[in-house]
Amino acid sequence: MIYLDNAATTWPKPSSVTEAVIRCMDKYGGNPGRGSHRLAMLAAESVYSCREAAADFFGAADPSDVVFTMNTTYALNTAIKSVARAGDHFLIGNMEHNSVRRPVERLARDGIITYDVFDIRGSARQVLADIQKRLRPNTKAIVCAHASNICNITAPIREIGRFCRSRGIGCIVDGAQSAGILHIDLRSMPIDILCVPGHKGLYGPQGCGMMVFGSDRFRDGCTLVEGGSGVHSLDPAMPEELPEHFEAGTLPTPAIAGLAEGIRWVSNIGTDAIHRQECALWRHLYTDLHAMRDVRIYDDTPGAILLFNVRNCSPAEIAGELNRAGICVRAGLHCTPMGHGALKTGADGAIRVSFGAMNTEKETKHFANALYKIILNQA
Amino acid sequence: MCIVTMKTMTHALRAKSVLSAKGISSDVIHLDPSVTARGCAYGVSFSCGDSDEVRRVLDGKGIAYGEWIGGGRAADAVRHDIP
Repeated sequence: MIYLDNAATTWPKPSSVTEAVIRCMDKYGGNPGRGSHRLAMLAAESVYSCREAAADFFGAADPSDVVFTMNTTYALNTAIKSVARAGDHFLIGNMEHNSVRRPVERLARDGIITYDVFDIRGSARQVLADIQKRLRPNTKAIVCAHASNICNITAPIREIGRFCRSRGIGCIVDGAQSAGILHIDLRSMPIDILCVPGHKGLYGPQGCGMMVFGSDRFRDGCTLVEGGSGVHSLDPAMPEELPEHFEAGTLPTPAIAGLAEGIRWVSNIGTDAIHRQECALWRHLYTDLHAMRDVRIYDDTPGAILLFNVRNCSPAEIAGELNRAGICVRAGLHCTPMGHGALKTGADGAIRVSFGAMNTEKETKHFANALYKIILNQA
Repeated sequence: MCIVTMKTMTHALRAKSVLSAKGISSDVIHLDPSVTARGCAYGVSFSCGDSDEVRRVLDGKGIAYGEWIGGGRAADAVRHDIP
């Protein structure tokens, strides 16, 4: 089996991650922050240890700035909807995943906000010029993916953050495809809320994402979910302090314990080293696929993702054949119809190969050979 | 034993972590409901001899805290379900 769907979720996970999950379930399966018996305290300390690791990894000022969510989609929904007020205007990028587009669209359909879309492609100067053109006096925040989930285009997040900060606009960043792969440092990147998954580039288990607050702005935003927090139970409202303000209900301690190990694993290797390796794999595969006459590649930028189509074949058909050959890739629109529209892939989308730190050059060769045989059989 | 009450469990764990980094031994404790009018709450316990240093470290790190409890009140402030 060759796994090339790491943009959906990385696999396999480092053994230290798996061991941490098992250790948590076997040894300290109490409810973190609920009571003070030994197992509850060990669970709470494990959760806190992950907050420390994440704060350190992203350059957050304090572990309390790390809020755990179910995944990036929940983090983005919480960030966007906790900030939005009636009459606000938002700006989003044109390569956004539905986890950004759908919450703003929903708020717009409910008559709460309006929003516009800017082009993240081009130089930082061009992107900022396009943002400036669409800015309104009531623009509350810019919500933007740091890296696309269908190609290797990245937004100039540092410049967008500085632009936002200079104009008093909020900056919410979708780091679903960049966390653990591209350098993110909240000390030098003026991001108000960074939303990231645990199970992708940070190599944690599924079931845990994060909102990492990079400023004091929006910390007191409206909660989307209310319930038990383990403190001040007599208060009818959620605690005002982060992270408990946004963390109603029991946290997924085993996933968080695994995530802490995933962050440590990535830190030890280094995001630059992982990115270099993925770019090297991309170059090998790009060279092989570029030589195939019937293959169209949509982006020439090296990175973790290679998006392509085969002439006169549906992406789903090719992905199905690859699956039968023991290769896992994802075909379709990848929950990013705006991005596919911008790349003009067509109504059926395209085939996405996405590399992870565990992939090898041998696997890219095997993939290229398998695809070549499939194309020959289709002819 | 002395106690300082904290707003949340995370703040209490943060306090314990920064105190430990400064060589000050402390424990996160669940406070007795009699200590707070708001229900469940947590605090950090430490040797009363470290009180000045604890205050200095928490202030230096910007960690918000509540009431300082010492003497006989400290023992009463700890929930009895704790070993």
